[in-house]
Amino acid sequence: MQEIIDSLQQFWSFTGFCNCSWQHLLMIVVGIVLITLGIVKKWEPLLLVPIGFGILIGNIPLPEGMQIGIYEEGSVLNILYQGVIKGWYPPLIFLGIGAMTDFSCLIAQPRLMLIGAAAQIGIFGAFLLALALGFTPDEAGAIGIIGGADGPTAIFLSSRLAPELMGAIAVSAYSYMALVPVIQKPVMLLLTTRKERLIRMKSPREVSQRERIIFPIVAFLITAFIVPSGLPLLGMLFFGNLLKESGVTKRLAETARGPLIDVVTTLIGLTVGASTQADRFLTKESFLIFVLGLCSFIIATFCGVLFAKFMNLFLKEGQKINPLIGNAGVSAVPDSARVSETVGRQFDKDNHLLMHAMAPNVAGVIGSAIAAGILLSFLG
Amino acid sequence: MRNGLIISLVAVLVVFVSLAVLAILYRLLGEAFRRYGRKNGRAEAASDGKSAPETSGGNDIKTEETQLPEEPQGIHDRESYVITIGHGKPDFGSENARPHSPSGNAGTARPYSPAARTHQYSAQDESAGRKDTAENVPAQTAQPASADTITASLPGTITEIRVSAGDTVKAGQIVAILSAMKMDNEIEAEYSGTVAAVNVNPGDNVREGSVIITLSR
Repeated sequence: MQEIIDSLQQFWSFTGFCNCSWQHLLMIVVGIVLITLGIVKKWEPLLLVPIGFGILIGNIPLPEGMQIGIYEEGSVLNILYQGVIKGWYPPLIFLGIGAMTDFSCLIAQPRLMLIGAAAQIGIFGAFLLALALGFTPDEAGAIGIIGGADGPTAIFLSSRLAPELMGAIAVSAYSYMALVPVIQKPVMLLLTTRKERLIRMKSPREVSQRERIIFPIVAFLITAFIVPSGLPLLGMLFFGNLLKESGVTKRLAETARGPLIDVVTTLIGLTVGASTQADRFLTKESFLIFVLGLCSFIIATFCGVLFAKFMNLFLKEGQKINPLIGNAGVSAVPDSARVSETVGRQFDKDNHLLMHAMAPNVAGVIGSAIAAGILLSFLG
Repeated sequence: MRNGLIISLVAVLVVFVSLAVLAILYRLLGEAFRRYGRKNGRAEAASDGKSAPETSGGNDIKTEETQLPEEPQGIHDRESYVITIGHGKPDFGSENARPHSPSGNAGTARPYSPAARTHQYSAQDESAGRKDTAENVPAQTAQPASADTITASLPGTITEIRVSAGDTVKAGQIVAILSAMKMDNEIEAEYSGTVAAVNVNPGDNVREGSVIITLSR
């Protein structure tokens, strides 16, 4: 009889109930909130649902030494997590992004690329703020990249510079990407006049297939020569795009933008979520990271819109840019371009900015990969 | 901190320079291509993954061509089109009859019209001609006042059609949903009238200016 009670007691000590703390419960609530936002509000469901469930997985209270937790070497979760730690998931995602991105709006209006560059100032604004708040340069760099509004880039850079902060950085990058409409709209309205919001832009010219094939090759060579440290991201991005545009590698392109990116997104979301264990996640740093991430999004939107207005100073009437596409320089493809469209149509319901906004939007992806490369070469 | 400021400045500069180099280079390339394209007339546009629909025979065959499983953003230049062969006078006849529309130039010419499809052949043959006119010469207002078209204002995929031929629509009524970049756009009727023809099917990719619905007032 005593033996039975003993083994029951022993079993009890293994269960989650015994090892539970309020932090675990809080994180479980966070996970459920993210899942709910993904499913009910449809905010980035492909990311928030895996991350949310990952948080549930990561926050089941475990006794030490069972070779199950994500931080215990050799456990199943730990092996899946290697792709995040060693940073080989993000380039694979970039391959898929390249294979699904149409750069033709960018090729048609190359000058809009500069807006994508301007929005990257948000990264460095947050970088400086983080330094001022006492983060080390490495940590500050990893936090700043949240302003690139690009999940894979953020994970890639933070796995290099500040692996211990990666969970918070990734979760905050992805949540703010989902919140882009809420964050960007007030900034856009604040900075633009009614007249500017009504500017109509000429529809982009048609781009020939030859131009679209040459673009990834030229763009890769230029950007990679300037920032070799961005090689994994830039190389995969443009390689994926070449697969898409070449016309002869349709199968590879379809795999890259379909099954491959789906597999990697699932794994990255799940393991990043699971890495947010209560004791590592519920810290003052995480809170600061969330605040800084928000700042970087706001600064980035600010700079994008202001830069569009700045460019207008030099452009002739009829060529002017509607500054409402400035926000789209923050990558978050295609969410921020969609914000341009919705806000634009609020003021002129026949003024479609979506395709114009896609140009700074995809330029933002290139820009944030370059910025990540620069930060890596200075800090890494 | 001072270091950080320097890093930031340098980094912002580098981001700008690399994208600016890319922009300038592509600007020049684009111009070169346009010049090249002009020299070669429409050959460039036609070789762009699509060619004008060939017509042959008198069979009542509905062919579906180049249905590419592309994302909406991929449809700039490729799209699905349905050709109805040999029923009455197919309306791409009118398209082929004047391959160089007055407003067309090498850069923007559409090798064929996505509107070149007939779903309601009998009543539509005549209005289809007008519809083509309306599409290729959007600036011209001198078109028969009895027919009007509702066109796509941006490229995307038609996900829903809310009216069918014969329905009366009021100005401002939502007639179709066009999805672009995962975003649903409501397409409204600009005028009140009767639907003469629905020119697309749900799931079709359309480009800017494609006719979605033909109205008669």
